[in-house]
Amino acid sequence: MPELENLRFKNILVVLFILLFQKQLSGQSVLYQQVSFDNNKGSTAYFLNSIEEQAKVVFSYSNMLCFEDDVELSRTSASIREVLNELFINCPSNFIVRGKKIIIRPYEGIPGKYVVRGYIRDANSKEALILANVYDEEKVLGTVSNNFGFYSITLPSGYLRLNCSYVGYEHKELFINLQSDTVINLDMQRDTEIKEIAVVQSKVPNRVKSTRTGTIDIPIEQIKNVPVFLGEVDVVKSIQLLPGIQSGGEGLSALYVRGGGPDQNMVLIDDVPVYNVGHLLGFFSIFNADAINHVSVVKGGFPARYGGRLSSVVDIRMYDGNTQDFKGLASVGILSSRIAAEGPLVKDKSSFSVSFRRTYLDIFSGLIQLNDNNKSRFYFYDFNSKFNFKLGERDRIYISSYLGKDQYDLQYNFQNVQVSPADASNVNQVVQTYDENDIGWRNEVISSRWNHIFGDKMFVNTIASFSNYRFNIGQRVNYQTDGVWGVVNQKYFSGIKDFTLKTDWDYFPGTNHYIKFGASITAHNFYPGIDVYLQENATEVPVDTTYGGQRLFRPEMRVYFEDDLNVTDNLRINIGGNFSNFQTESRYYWSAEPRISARYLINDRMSVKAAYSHMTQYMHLLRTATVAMPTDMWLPVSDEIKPMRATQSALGVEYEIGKGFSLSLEGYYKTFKDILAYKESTGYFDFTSDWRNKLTAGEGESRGIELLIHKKTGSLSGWFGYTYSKTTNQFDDLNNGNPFPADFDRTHDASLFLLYRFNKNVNLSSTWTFGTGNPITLPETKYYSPDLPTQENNNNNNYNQYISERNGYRMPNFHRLDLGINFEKEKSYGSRTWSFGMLNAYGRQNPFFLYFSDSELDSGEVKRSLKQFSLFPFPIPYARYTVRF
Amino acid sequence: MKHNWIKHSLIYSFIILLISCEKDIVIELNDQPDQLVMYSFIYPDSALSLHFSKSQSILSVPSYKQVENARFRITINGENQGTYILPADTVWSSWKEFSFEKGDDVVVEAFEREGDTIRVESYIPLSIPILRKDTSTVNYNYSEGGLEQFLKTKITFEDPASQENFYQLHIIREGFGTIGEDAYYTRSIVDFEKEDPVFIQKDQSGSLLQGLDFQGLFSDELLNGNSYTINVNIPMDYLFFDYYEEKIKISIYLYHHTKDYYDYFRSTILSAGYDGFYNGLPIFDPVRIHNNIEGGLGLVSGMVFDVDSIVLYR
Repeated sequence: MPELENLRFKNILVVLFILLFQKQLSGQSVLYQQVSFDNNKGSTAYFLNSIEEQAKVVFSYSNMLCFEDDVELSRTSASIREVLNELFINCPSNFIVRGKKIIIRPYEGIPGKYVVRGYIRDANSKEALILANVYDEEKVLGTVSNNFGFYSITLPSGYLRLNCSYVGYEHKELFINLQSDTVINLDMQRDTEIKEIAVVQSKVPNRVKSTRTGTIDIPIEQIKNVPVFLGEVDVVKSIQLLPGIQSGGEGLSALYVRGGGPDQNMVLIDDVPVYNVGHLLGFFSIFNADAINHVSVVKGGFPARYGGRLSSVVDIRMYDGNTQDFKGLASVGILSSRIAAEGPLVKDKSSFSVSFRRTYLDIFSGLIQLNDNNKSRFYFYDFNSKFNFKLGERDRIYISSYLGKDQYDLQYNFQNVQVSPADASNVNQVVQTYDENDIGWRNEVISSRWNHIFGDKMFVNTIASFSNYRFNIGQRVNYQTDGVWGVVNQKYFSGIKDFTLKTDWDYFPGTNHYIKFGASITAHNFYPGIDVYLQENATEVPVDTTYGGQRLFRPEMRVYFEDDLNVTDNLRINIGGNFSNFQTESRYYWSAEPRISARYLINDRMSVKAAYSHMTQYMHLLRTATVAMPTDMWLPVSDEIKPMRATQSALGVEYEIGKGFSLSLEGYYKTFKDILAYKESTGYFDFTSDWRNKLTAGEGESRGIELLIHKKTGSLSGWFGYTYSKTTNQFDDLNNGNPFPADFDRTHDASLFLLYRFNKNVNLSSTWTFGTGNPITLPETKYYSPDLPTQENNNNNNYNQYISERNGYRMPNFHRLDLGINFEKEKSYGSRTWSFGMLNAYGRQNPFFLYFSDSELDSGEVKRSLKQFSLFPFPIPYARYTVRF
Repeated sequence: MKHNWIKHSLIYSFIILLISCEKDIVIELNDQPDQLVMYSFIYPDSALSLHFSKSQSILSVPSYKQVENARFRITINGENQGTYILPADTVWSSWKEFSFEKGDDVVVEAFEREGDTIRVESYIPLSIPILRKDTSTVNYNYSEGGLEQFLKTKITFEDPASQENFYQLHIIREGFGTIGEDAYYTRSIVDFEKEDPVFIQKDQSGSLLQGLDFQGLFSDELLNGNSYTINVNIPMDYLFFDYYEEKIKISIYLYHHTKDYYDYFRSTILSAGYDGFYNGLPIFDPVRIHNNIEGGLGLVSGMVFDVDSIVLYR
C-alpha cells in the first residue's frame, strides 16, 4: 500500500497543531476569568486583592478562612477558580458567585458527596432528551444524559447551581442545597423564540462533552427541514450531507463513510440493527422522521460499546411517546402520506407512539391500467410503534417495533375460466384468473427493553430483540392440462434473521468516571437462497417442494468495557475494549478491539481530540451491481473468508463559536484488511460456483480531512461540511494487483445546508452539494472477438473491450441546489404546515452512469460516443401538507 | 418464461418515474497504443487457423484494424516450424503445413515488421473419454404449468486427479434426409437444461433468479479426481423430425479445455451477460476479458473433445 505521503494531509495536521496552541476566550462566569500576577509568590491577601482589582469583584469570607503569609502558586496566570483552589488548598472551600461578589465559604470538616440523579425530559411531552448536559458550573463538574435521558452525578454537599442545557431548549438552572442523595427530574422547555445566543454561557458543557472524534448529533428538527426528493423527509439523505459521508450516487440512500462500503455501517433503531435501509432501490430511506427522537452518527473514534461494523454507527432513537397529552400528525405528499399519534396510556405511567407511512403509486397506476391486460403496482410502507411502561421509579419497560415493506407486482394473462364446484350446484360458474409475478423486500425489527436503576449510580438496559430482513421473488401461473385447471406457485427468498440478547450497564461512580460495560449474544441466521415450489390442481395430490433452503446459523458474542474519565480538568479520555467471537462452519474467529479517544481542552471554547480504534466485521453484503439492489445478500464470514478488519486514527480540533454553534476540523487515517470484492472472472449472476469462491480479499486505505461548521440554534441554522479524502484498494486478483481508487472515492465533497426562520411561521431551507465525480472503469480500446468453436449462441459483440485500469476515470463533478419552504399556521386544533420545494433548482445534469453508444449521423456515418445518464436533469418540485393536532 | 422482466420492469419503472435524460460527454481517455491481437484454436489432426490484427480506440466504429507486413513463427514441442508471412486481407488465415496431436505444446510468436512482437504458449489437452451414456425419457412439471418432456441423459467420465481440469459439455443436433435427389442436412446447437451441480449451485441461485448461462462450461471443483456422471436434460423438441428429416443424430461432445480457453470463454459470457442483463443499463463494472497473449491481446489454445451420439430414425 502507498505510504502516507500526501503533503496536503501533512500540512493539515500542522494546521491542527497550530490551532491547538492558540489561546482564546474564557467563559462568562467570573470564576473563569483569567488573572495574572507579577510573580507567583505572596500572601493569600495579596492574591485576593490583586484579583479584586483585576476582575472588579469583591470577596466575602468569614474569619474561619485560612489565610497564609507565604503562598507559592504554580503559575502566574490562571483562572480565578484555579487560583482560589490553590490558595485554599489546605482548607477546601465553596465559591459562590453573587453578581460581582464571590463568597468563599470553607467546608465544615470534609465535605460529603451526594448523588443527584434523574431523567432529563421535554417538559410538555416528557420525552427523553438524549445527551443533554447536566453540570454545576461553579464546581466545574458535569455529566450527560444517556440514551434514555437518565443522568447521575456525584457532587459535594452544600449550595450549588445545577444547570441543564440541550440544543433547542431553554437553559435551566436550579439553586439547591445538597444534603443527601437526591432525585431531580429536569423538565426542559422547548425554546420557541428565535434568538441568537452570542456567547457561550458556560464552559462546563465543553468540559463534560464527548471525547469522541467523528461523532455528530443532528437535531431532528434540522433533518425534518432538509429539502428532499418528492418531499419525503429522509434521515439518511440528511446524514449524507455531513463531511466524510457520501451517497454513492445521485438520489440513493446508501452510506459510504470514510472510504468504507455500504455494508460497513451499523444502523441501529433503538439498539437493534437494520440490514436494509432503502426503499425503492435505495431512493428513499426507511426511516420515518415523525417517529424519530434522536440521530447520532459515529464515523470514527468508536467507543467500545459499538462493534460489528468497520465504518460507522448510525444510532437512531425513536420517540417514547407523550405521557401527558394525545398528539397527532397527518401529512399528505406527492409520493406518500403519513400519520402519527402519541399519547399516554396511563398518564405519567405509560405512553405510546405509532406512525405509519405508505406510498400510493399503486393507486394511481391501478387507475391508469384499469382496462389494461397487464397490471403492475408498486408500494412501500413503514410502521413504527413504541410503548413504554413505568413500573416504578427504578424500572421501565419499552417495546418498540419497525415493520417496512416494498412490493412490486405484475398481473397478466387475465382470462375467464369455467369451474365446476365440488357440489356441482353451478356447473357454469365463471371466474377470472390471472398469472402474477412479484418481487419484494421487508424489514422487521422488534425489541423489548427493560431499564432498571440499581442504587443511584447504576443504570441497566437489557434488550431482547429480533431483526429480520427478507427479499423474495414469486410467480404464480395458472395452467390447464386435459381440461383441468391447476396453479403453480414458485417463490424464492433470501435474507438474514437475528435474535439478540444484550445488556448494557452505565455506572456513574463519581464525576471523574462514567463507566459502561455490557455483553451481547446474537444468533444470526443467514438464508442465502430458498426455493419453494407448490403445484395444485383439482385432480392430483398437491406437490409442495422446498429446495436450497440452506440456513447458516452463526452465533456472535460480544463483551465490552469503557470508561469515560477525567484525567485532569482539561484532559478527558474514553478508553475501553470490545471483545467478540464469531463461529463459522468449523472455526471460531475472535477479535480484541482496543478503543481510545481523548479530548484536551485548550481553553473554554477550543478542544483537541484524538482517537484510535480497531474494528472487526463478521458479515458482508454480496452486492449484485454497483447500485443497491434488493437482491444484495448478507452473508457471514466462512472458514475461508476471514473477517474484515479496520483500524482508524483521527486527530481534530473543535471550536465552540457560540452556544450550539461549533467548528470542527478533523483528519483521519484508516486502513482496511480482508475487505471483499468479486473476482474479475465472476459476478453475482454467476451461479456456477459457490459464493465463497467468487470473492477475493484485499486491503484498503483511506485518509482525509473534514471540516464541519455546525449551527444548531438561532434564526439561521445549518451546517457547512467539506471533505478532502483519498481512498484506495489493493487486491492481488484485481487490476493486475495494482492499487486503484475505491468505488466511491471522492476527492472533494462539500455540502451546505441552511435553514432560515423568518418568523415562527415561515422557514426557508436549502442544500447545496458538490462532489468530485465518482471513479469509473472505462475501456479505452477494443479488439476483435471471434465466435468461439464451442459457443452455443452467436457472438453479438464482434469486439472485446480492453480495460487498462480499474476505476481509472472519473465521472464529471456533481453539484446540485435544493430549496424548500415551510409555511406553518396555528389552528384551533393545533397547526398546519404547507411545504413546497424544488429539487435540483438550477437544473444541473449530474451523471448517474456513463456508457458508450453508437448513433447514426445524417450523413449515414456511424459515430460512437460516451454518453451520460442523468436521473434528475431538471428542477423537480414537491409539495406536502401536514397537520399537527 | 424468462424472469429477467422483473428486474427490467423494476428498473425501468423507476427510471420512467424519475424522468431521466442522457447526453454526450467528453472525457479524455488515456492514449493507449494499439496492441497486436492474435487468436487460434488448435485441434489435433486439423489445419492451423490464425487471426492477427490490432486493437483500436473504443470510440472507433470498426472492431479491429488489419496489420500489414506481419509474420509469425511457430514451434511445436520445441521444434521450430519456420517463419511465415501473414496475409493482411483475411480475417483468418489457414495453414495446412502443420499437424498437431493431443498433448502437443505449441508456441506462436507473431510480429509486425518494425513493430511489436507478441508471444503465446499453449498446448492441446488430452481428451477425456466418455465412459458411459444412458438415456431415458422423463416428464417434468415446468414452472409455466403443464408437462414438458425431456430426454434425460447421463454422461460418465473420469476426472484426472493430478491436474486442474476444465470442461464443456456441448450438444449438437444434426438432421439428415433428402429432398428429391438432393441430400438434406440441418445442424443446430442444443440448448439443454443445465441443472447438474457442476453447472449451477442451487443454494444461491433460485429458479426465479436467473443466472448467466455459461454454455456447458464447468470446472473440476466438485469432481476431485473421481468418476462423475453428469445429468443432462435435452428438451424433446430437439428429437422431433422435420418434414424432410429421416435421421437425427444427437452428438454429445465432452470438451477438455485449457484454463486459458475456459477463462476467456467465461469472461466473454460475463461481459456479454452483464451488458444484456438490464438491457444495457451499465450498473455492473465492465468485465476484464481474459487474455493469454504476452505483449498483446487475444487467445491461442489447443482444443480436444470426446464425442458420443444418439441416432434416431423416423
